[in-house]
Amino acid sequence: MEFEPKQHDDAVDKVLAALRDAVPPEGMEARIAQRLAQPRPVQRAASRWRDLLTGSNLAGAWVRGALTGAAVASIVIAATLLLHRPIQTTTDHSKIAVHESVSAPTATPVSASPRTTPASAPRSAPCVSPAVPRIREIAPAPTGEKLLAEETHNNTAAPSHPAPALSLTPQERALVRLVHTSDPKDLAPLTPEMHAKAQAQDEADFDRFFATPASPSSSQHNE
Amino acid sequence: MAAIGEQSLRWFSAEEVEAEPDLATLVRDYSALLYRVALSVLRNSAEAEDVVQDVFVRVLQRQQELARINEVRPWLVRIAWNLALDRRRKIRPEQMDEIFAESLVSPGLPADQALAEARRIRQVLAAMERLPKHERQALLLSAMDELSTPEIAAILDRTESSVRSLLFRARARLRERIQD
Repeated sequence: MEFEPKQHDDAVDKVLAALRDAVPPEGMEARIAQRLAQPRPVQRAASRWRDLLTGSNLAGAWVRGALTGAAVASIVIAATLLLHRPIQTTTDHSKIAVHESVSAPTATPVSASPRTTPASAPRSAPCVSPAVPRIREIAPAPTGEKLLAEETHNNTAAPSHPAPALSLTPQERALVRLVHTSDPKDLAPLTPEMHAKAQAQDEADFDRFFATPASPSSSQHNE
Repeated sequence: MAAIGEQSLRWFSAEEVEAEPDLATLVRDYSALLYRVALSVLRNSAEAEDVVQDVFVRVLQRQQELARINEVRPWLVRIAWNLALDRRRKIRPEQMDEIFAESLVSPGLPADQALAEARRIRQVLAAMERLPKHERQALLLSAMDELSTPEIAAILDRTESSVRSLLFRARARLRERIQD
């Protein structure tokens, strides 16, 4: 069904006129007045916090933004601390290693170095040059030679134990296999007596097999 | 907090309090207009009445600010409009359109004509929904006789010429879309 344009305009006007002439339901003002006369419910602290955290008002947005910012800042600080900690340690070690390599050719003992704090000085006394690391307070990093010497010393001082069992040779493995099978024929070649006995047995069997059988008459006579 | 309360009492304790409009007067003067504004958005009588109640509850909560409001009517209409839009997100206005369109059909028409008219009105309501936001708002507010063009301009935060332009475009677009 097609509508004419005038009908559409009429429909638009009718809708707008209906909105314009809409009459409020009877008693609406009284209901509103009654609602306004009711004591205002006290907003609890919990609901206020809930509104701040989930509401769409400006204060809620500020609170949410502040919380998010604090969380991000703490994550960044934690990540920065974690990332920078090992780098600082290696830097300290490299400084000490350089210091040792400089002091080594002069064959000056570490405790006698003029840069170090004397042992008699109080620990709370300020360092003469704070930029120079205090060697006595920092344990020197072990060098490669020292590590090797320590390992050798530890190996030497370690308690001795019996050597571990070596693996068997092929012949030994064959012997073990033979013993475990307990076959007398296989064991025979190992001892000359048994070997001779086995050979004699074989010859006797051979002769018995090829020997001329006894005549039937003699056998009947025997019976 | 106490200091702030005392300060606000001091601020509004002079002649400003005398100029402050009474809430009951506001309800009596503006509830019908606010109802129509809410109805134009929601197309449901009960929902529109709830919106009017909510408007005055908000006013009660911010009663101390009333004295500083220069134009009370645009301010109230703006609150009602925003609350109606909020409430509209929770309901389905398409369902309301069915009932609203049937209520607008002239009584006494034959059944076939009544059906055709209801269908036409539903088309108009659907086309209004698809209008751009400001055009729809200007068109619906212009339907309220109580609101002048300067007041609509104040509600929409635009100039009067801009409001007229919005109205013209809304009408043209509505006609074009209904005829498609």
